[in-house]
Amino acid sequence: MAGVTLTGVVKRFNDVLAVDAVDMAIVEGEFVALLGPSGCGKTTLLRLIAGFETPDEGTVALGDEVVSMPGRMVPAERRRIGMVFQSYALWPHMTVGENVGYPLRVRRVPSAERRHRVAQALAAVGLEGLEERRPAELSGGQRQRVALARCLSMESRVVLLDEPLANLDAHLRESMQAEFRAFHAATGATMIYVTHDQSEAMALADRVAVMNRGRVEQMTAPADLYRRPATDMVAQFVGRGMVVPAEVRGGSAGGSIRARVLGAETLLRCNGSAANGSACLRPEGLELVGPDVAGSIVGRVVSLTYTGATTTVHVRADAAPDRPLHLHVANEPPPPGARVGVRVTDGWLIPGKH
Amino acid sequence: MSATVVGRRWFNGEHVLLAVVAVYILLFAVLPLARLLVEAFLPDGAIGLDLVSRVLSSRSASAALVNTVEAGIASTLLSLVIGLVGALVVGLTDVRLKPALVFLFLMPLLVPAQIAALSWLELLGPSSAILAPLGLAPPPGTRNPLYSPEGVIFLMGIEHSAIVFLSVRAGLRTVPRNLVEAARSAGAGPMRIVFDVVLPLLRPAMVAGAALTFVASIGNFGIPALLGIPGRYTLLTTLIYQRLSGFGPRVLGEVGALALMLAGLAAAGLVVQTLALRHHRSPSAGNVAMSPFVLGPLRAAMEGIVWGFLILTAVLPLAALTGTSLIKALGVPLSFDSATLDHYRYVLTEYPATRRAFVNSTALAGLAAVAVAVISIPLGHVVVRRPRPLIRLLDGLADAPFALPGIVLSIACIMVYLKPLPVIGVGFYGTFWIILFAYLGRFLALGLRPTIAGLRQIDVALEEAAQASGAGALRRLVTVVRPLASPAAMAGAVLVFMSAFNELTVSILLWSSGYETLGVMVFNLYDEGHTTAAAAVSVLSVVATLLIAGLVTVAARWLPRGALPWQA
Repeated sequence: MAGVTLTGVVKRFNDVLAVDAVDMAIVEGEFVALLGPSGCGKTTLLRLIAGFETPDEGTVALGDEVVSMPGRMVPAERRRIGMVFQSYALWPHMTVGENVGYPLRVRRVPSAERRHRVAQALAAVGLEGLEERRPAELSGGQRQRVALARCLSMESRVVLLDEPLANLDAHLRESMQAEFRAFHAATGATMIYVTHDQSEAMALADRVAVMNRGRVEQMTAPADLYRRPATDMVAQFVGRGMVVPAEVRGGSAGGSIRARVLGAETLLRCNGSAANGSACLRPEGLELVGPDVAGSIVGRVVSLTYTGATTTVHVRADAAPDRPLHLHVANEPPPPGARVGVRVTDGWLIPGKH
Repeated sequence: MSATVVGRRWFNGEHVLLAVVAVYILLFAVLPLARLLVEAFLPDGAIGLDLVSRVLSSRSASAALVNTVEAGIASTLLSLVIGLVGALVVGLTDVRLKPALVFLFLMPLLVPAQIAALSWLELLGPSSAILAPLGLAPPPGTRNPLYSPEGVIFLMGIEHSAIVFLSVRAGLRTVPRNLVEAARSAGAGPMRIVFDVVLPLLRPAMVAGAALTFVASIGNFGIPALLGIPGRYTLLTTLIYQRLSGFGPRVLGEVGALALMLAGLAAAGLVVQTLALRHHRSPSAGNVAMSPFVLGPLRAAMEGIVWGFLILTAVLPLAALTGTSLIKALGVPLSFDSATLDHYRYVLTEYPATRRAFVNSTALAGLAAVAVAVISIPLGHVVVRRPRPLIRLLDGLADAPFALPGIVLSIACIMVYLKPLPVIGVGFYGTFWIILFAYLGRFLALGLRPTIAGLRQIDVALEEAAQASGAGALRRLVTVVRPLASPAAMAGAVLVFMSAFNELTVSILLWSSGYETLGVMVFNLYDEGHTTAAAAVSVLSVVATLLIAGLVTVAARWLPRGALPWQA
């Protein structure tokens, strides 16, 4: 097992900058999710770590060993990095046992030990005794478990997972997430997990790296990502936060700062910076009050969406009609067209660029 | 991106394999064709530019050139009409028994030209086993009507219609169904849709198919040899054959010049084909086959016309051939009492040359099929996974010996192997090996295409998973790519075997006593007047080919889509 260190990694495809000067330090045994919209470079980053792509600039190190730099590559087959693919990538002409045992066969592990380790790996993913089956006879979830067992049998230093659940239906996804967590707990392997599904990333990972246009916008623990987004993009992408302009009044004190948001005086959480910029608001940090309550954002109800336990109220603030707000109310909501006030009970001053 | 790879020897299994592939292509494809060009354009070459111009200005050569272009264009037009109408009827209407129709339209691909020519001669000749009982055969002693320019053109037109049929059929698959449905909802009837929507969209496929047909026609040897030589209608292929068999290798320079002319014509055709397919769209995955036009009461009539045509052109000639192979002697009418298997016994057990020919053709075709299948997996793999300019050049060169007329390749092979090779001092001219070497070049592309089609369907993640598992390039090729590509490579091998088994255009110039091929045997037996024996050999080789085709068709569900041309 080993950590993964990326330093100034750049990858271009023709003129397109797929990965743009990425620095990342993943510690040994960590579970990191790479999260971002499609085309953000997350899969390319994964393939750079695996050794399927050569960086144009920068280096990739596994533990202390630099495995990729421009002009010098340790080939993927010498990295001992396990990979789980979206398409499972099980060899259809081999049995389940042969698939799982392939890395061992490549390393000339004697067949008795190989059989033993294959059985062990299959038992670890709940597929004991299925050695003789063909991949085609298995369900999607079982196939992904076989792929996982293949990584297990080779005792990978690092396991890379490229959208492994994208081809599975919703209820299977949850049980497979539990499988991945158990795998991580049992092996202690460093795991890097690419996904575009934020709830998956938040549920699984110790840290989530949000990527956008080839760059890492923010890399931190899931709770932090939601509570303290570093950039507008992260605020909007994670939990669909509302990003509104914020005008700072005075300095920060005790992690809070006074700011004017959409015409209302508010107290925002902050990380010490006191620059004008934008605030991230969440529905649970907003409260519906009367239109004349001091310190509230004044606006009009545009529409209501009933979601069962609560109703989502969409409000258009007078100060910024192009940035609609929404919040949840449990009791009777005001009708569309009603003038209302919105009080900010919790908000975050975004420190980064916007 | 020539990154130094750490911990890997510069000389490894993958490089050895690539070198083997490159040597194969250089030896069997590039060397002969390059030799032909060198002899023509280098000052001290055996052909030389002044010989080219002298040959060009000779009366016999210019007549053959004119005849070749004339027969090529005229027969291409006939093929275009037959192939286009056939493909439209099968592809767009609700006629029944489509698989059978497709098979019969593509039958000429399975029956080689010399056998088709022999069959038609027997069908329309005075001793026709089909027409004579009906009293329709020409009276004994009259000249066969096919011994004429018209006969050559007619038969080549039928023989190559399968090429247009395939091309148009593939083109039909790229016509977006919604364009046809849009025309339908705009109020256009079936005929309008065909002329206003389908045909314009099919133009590239038609042009490409016609260009390929032209190349096939000018390279055809079997039909002009069996019909044109007696009909005094000489084409470039038959002129080359007559000169070389009449005067021997000392006219190699002159026939080389003729071969270059032929290659030039073919190259022009291939350029047209490439240009036509430049903006080729591959069928989109979501493109559902368009629903066929309902013919209603006309369907029976349409089916009658199509079946009548196919029985006349694909079934009756072979029936006549079979009839000839069963009669006691030419002129004796066929009946249940007079039918005899004597000719089969003769060619299989008594006449040594035909026995040898069966053995030789089986061995040549088998060896070529295995070699092509083995080389096409690593070659196809680099073509699919690393389409760098050099690889693409190799890929293109691999196609050349198959795309150019076979007789051009055999002239080039004679030039390479006539004298003992330098360094090793071994001569291959007049041996089994020169034919094999020619086949290894000639049929590479035929086996490579299905293999590439199969390789393209392999998910690259399967190879990357093996790489992540620690498998090096050679091991991935052997343990992952080879098993997955094998069905396609086997399909390619079968195509190679079927083509090489009945092949005539290459071996006619390369055979020598003891190393006859089946194609040569049919031609020689007919030439010497042993028509019944020629018919018996032909029937046996057609039956063998059909059996193999039947077997792979049954096995087709394990093959990648598009591996078998008649199933495309």
